[in-house]
Amino acid sequence: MNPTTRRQFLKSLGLATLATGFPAIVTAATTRPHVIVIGGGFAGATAAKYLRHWSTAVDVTLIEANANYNSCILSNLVLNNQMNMSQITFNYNVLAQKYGIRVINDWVNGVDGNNQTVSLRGGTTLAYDRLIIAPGVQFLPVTGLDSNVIPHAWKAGVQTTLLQQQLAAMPNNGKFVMTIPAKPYRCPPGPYERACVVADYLKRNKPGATVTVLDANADIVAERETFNHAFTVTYAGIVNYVPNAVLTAVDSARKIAHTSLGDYTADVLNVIPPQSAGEIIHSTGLANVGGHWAGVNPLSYESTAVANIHVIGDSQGTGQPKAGHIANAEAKVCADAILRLLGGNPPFAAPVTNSACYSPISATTASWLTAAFAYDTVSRTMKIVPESSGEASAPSRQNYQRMFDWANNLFADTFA
Amino acid sequence: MNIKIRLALASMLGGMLVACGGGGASTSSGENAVTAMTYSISGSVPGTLIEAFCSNGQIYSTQSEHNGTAQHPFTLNLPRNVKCRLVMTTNENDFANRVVTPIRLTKNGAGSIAFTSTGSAVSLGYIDLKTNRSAMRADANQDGVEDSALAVDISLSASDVGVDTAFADPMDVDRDGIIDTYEDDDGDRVPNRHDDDDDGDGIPDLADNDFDSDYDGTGDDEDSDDDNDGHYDGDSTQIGGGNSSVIVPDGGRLLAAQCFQCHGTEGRSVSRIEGLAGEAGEIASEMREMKYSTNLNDIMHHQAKGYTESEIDAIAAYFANKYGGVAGGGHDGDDD
Ligand SMILES: Cc1cc2nc3c(=O)[nH]c(=O)nc-3n(C[C@H](O)[C@H](O)[C@H](O)COP(=O)(O)OP(=O)(O)OC[C@H]3O[C@@H](n4cnc5c(N)ncnc54)[C@H](O)[C@@H]3O)c2cc1C
Repeated sequence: MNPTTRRQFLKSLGLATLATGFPAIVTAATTRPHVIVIGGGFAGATAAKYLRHWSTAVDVTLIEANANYNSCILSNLVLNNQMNMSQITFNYNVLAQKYGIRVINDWVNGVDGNNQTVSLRGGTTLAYDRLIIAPGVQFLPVTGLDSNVIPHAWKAGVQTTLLQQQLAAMPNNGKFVMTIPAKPYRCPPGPYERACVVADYLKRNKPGATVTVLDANADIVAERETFNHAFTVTYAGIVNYVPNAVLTAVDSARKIAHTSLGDYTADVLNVIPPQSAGEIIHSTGLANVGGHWAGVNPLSYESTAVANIHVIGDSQGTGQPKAGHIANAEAKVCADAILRLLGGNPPFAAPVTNSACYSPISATTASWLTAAFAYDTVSRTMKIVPESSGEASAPSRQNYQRMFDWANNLFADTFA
Repeated sequence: MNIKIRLALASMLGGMLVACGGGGASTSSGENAVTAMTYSISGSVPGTLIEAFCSNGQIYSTQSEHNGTAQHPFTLNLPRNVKCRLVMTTNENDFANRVVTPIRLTKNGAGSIAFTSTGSAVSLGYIDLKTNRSAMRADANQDGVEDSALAVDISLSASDVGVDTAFADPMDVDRDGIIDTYEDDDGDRVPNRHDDDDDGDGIPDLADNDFDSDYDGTGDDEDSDDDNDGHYDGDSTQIGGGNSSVIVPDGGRLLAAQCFQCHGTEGRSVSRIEGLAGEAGEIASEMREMKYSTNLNDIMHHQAKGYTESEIDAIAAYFANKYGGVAGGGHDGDDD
């Protein structure tokens, strides 16, 4: 940002004298600071909204590939016919109209971190003062896997519908087999929640059908008590949980999962592939955590690789879980920090974020998992506050109702 | 369960506007008069009970008039600028043949069951409601409630009606266009509104106490203050105008914003989760209580442990500054 812009910006934030001692001379703004957000999921949409909610002195452009956003949150309930996709599909009209965010539906081909520009598939190049990248995850290739035949349903939408249709068409006594990648992956309790919801559906609709969960991890990754009880008691005889089963290849035509523990043949096969940060993180050279995730400073979510670029949501590599609720939380920390940085101030030094997931266990019951994370000044990382972390003592009908109350506020806080 | 009780309670307390909480009784049109504060919604239907469930806690209802034709006219007067949802019931007094049709108003492509009006009259034209179960459009769970709301286009007739495109409706938690009171929670083929035991647990709703939306230990059925704001439920308390003498410490805005994921942007909840706007005093005292409590079967009892005392004060100060009330005291911000 040029100095005139910056001064004008400080002025409009009301921080001018306070922050830097600039004299309060009003000069006509030539340019206003411009923040571009790539990706309109729980992370990107929240960041765009809060930048403008907190300041009208910045221009915000949100670039999202699709006009509609299909929420993964609650999407497992499409599989047991408790919801349809239209109930969890959102658009960006409110963000555009109420918050004055410029929304562009296009795919970002590349980012030039030196010149601070973003180029779109449609041919446009846009300049930014600060850039937020929130592209979610991409799936890593699995030998033989054709996701148009063997759905992952780990990005919601047509994939979810495809898996729901395959389950509906499954014969009685059929075999549902699903694979879970090694952590970290999007939504730690999500695969186990899916196993439960599918088991519930099969129990009621497909007598004799079974669920086999092939987990690359050594044990249930999240809500261990809850899911262990569900697998061994609630769905005893239906769910077969197999730890340490690492997927090596898939026969998509014959619906076979080849794993480190042998081959599993299915009537309906659901492969959740291993994941990595979205493509644009890699092509911009930001994937410096284990070669898969973007290293960031958790006070601002600014990349540790390229200045003026911030990464939030599933793509960031702070160790916080890859989930929508906490993606919204990170987005607020990032937006607050960017406004401070644009005003010449450091980010807030002690941010707190939180995570909450409600997991449906059947068509009428749900459990939950929660934690708060606080910035640790010694390790300079976000650390879980131990006493804050816990899971529901048992699934209940009340939790099932609260799941919708929670989701509705989260959806509204993100998209409206 | 809670919604039915809450509405019934609101109508008892409300008094001023006519509310009809029962499943079949009708309101005489004289009481439901047009005033400067209301507008009329009219149309024609087969013999029908027309109800509007409104966000002021009231249920307004009327009956269509037999006029010798198959299309009975009706007029219902509703408060201006209050979000309402229309539900129409044919054979309302015949338990086995009752057909309930939620209405979805569409306007220039956008549609919602919730709408408001700033103006005078809305005409819906003739609405083709079904009058027996076998003719219903779709009723997979056989509870006599159409599975999806019937779209009625008002693009031409009602310029001052706004269909509510906000995507969360506290009266429709699962967002399927059927308000919660017309869901059939326990699958007994009787929608909650006509069911004396909504959750099928064998305890009649009036004695049942198993949903506690404000987590205060008193179930909603006994709790006349579900959101704990010190006012009876369904109140339309204005939130104070902010208390600028309360200084928000650095980071207060960001810390408070971490509440919004569950409690709504700026603490204005769009669901049954308690809103925080205007609750500055309660926030500090309740968070402290939860921070040190040993009840671990509640999300907020865990979350509160994630914040230090000074962070809790900063959050309370943020809400006091924005909406008024006392941040430090154990008092409800809207007592004043
Ligand atoms: C079955 C399931 C259940 C879940 N349940 C929960 C839950 O209960 N609670 C919870 O907190 N989380 C849950 N999650 C996880 C949650 O959905 C994700 O963590 C969340 O969506 C991450 O948000 P994000 O913004 O980082 O990415 P996304 O939501 O994936 O959004 C990324 C967006 O970026 C766009 N994009 C990517 N690259 C580009 C580009 N180059 N140009 C333009 N646009 C681009 C994409 O189109 C997409 O819209 C669940 C996930 C699944 C699969």
